[in-house]
Amino acid sequence: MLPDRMIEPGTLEAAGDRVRISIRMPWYRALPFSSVAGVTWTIDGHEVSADSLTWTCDGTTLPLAALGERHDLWWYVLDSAVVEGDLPAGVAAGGEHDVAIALGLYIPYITTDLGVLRLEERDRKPMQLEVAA
Amino acid sequence: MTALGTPVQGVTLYSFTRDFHARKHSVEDLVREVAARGLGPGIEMVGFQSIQGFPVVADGYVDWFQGLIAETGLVPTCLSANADAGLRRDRMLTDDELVDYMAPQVEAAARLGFPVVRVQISLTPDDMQRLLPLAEKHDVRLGLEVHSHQHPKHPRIQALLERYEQLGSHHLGFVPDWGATLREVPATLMARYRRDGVDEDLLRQLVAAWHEQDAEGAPMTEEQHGRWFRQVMGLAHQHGSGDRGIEMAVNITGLFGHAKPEDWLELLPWAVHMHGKFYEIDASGDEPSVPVERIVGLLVDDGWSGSISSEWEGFHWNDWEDPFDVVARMQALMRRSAEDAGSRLVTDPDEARSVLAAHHRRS
Repeated sequence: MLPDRMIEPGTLEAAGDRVRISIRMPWYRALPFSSVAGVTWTIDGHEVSADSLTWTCDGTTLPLAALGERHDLWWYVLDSAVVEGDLPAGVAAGGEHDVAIALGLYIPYITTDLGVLRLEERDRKPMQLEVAA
Repeated sequence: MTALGTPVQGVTLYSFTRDFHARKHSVEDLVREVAARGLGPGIEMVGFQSIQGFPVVADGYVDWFQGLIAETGLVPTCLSANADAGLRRDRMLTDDELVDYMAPQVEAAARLGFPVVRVQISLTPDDMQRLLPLAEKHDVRLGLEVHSHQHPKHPRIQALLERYEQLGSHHLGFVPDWGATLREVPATLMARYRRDGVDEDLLRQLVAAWHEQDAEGAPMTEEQHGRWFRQVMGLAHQHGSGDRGIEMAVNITGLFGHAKPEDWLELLPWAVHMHGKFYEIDASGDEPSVPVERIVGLLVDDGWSGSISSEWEGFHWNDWEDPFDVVARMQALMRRSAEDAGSRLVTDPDEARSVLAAHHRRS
């Protein structure tokens, strides 16, 4: 619905061997963490390892793979979520980078012949990679 | 002869999602702006959008909201709840769980002063019957939204209608969403796809697919809708827009319904509130995709005097128009349409309260 809102400008930051970015929900209402079907994140075409990703929202940090079980926690529509993972080898700190995020999102009240509707929203923006002090 | 209807004008804050999501306007800003621009008096909101932590609503929030309503003179019409049957990844919610999931939302609506709770298609006739005592207890009306790809003649809607007629309670009903009765694919969506570089041949084929499906008639089975959905995804993949295939299929087969405006008549005795869904207003002041004039004419002729929330969904793709202006132009179209039908829309708050009290059978 609002995919170009996902990547929040000015939020790409490296700290040691980790990198994080802030994302907004591409939908109009709060959704449970269990609606997050997956995140695919690349920097200059290098994938941030899916196994290394964590998700921080509303004061809770979880491995991305654990979100599916958490239908008791909510991503409010005005809240940012911080995604963090291992900085891919080959991505130099500093300077501008081509950042792409794909977010799978289940919409829990819409079911079709194909099951619960699963959207795949994409955003891509050039971003400065800041290095945390 | 039935007296002509005088529907009540209003708006849902969902129309302003783009500005709210951008943190440009808070709920309070939106409510005040609606009042200042005369886009009420009816006001609707989506619980899971406008209220953080919903369906938990603190007493302080209730006091604040009711104070804001009193100050602005607006009239709460409907709180939109969600029937999130697909909440879990391992399975769908059971009927028991879904009924339990709805209960706090219904209670929140009552505490906030909304006479109607919009609920959704995942609820079966049995679920609605089980929620009836709660609705009676709080004197709120549960309106199951008839939203594309469902429509008045869809078997699931007909099954609900049959149950409503058996139970005979005015606490159960429908919220017709005008998106179920389109006459054309919105031109603004095609303009946005064009701006995004989508292949012209694909745009032609998307419109052609919608018209082919329109000729087939509104879908009566999930299989039929699923076939259409896959057809549109297939077109997107064939034309190099596979990454937008789901979005295109949701738009073409999920938002732009094929029922006829006259189909609403069967549901009007049970229409507790309406979503005046629309996508665009052209230079002549008409809505080329949603037949607003025809629908308002039918409501007036049938003597229907409930609340209509102008619901602008063009914001999904339209980032170049001001939502408040678009809503104002749609409401001008509704007022003209009611006048052309020999009646009018209610815009005065006191009259709206009185008309809606009669519509909801509240003394």
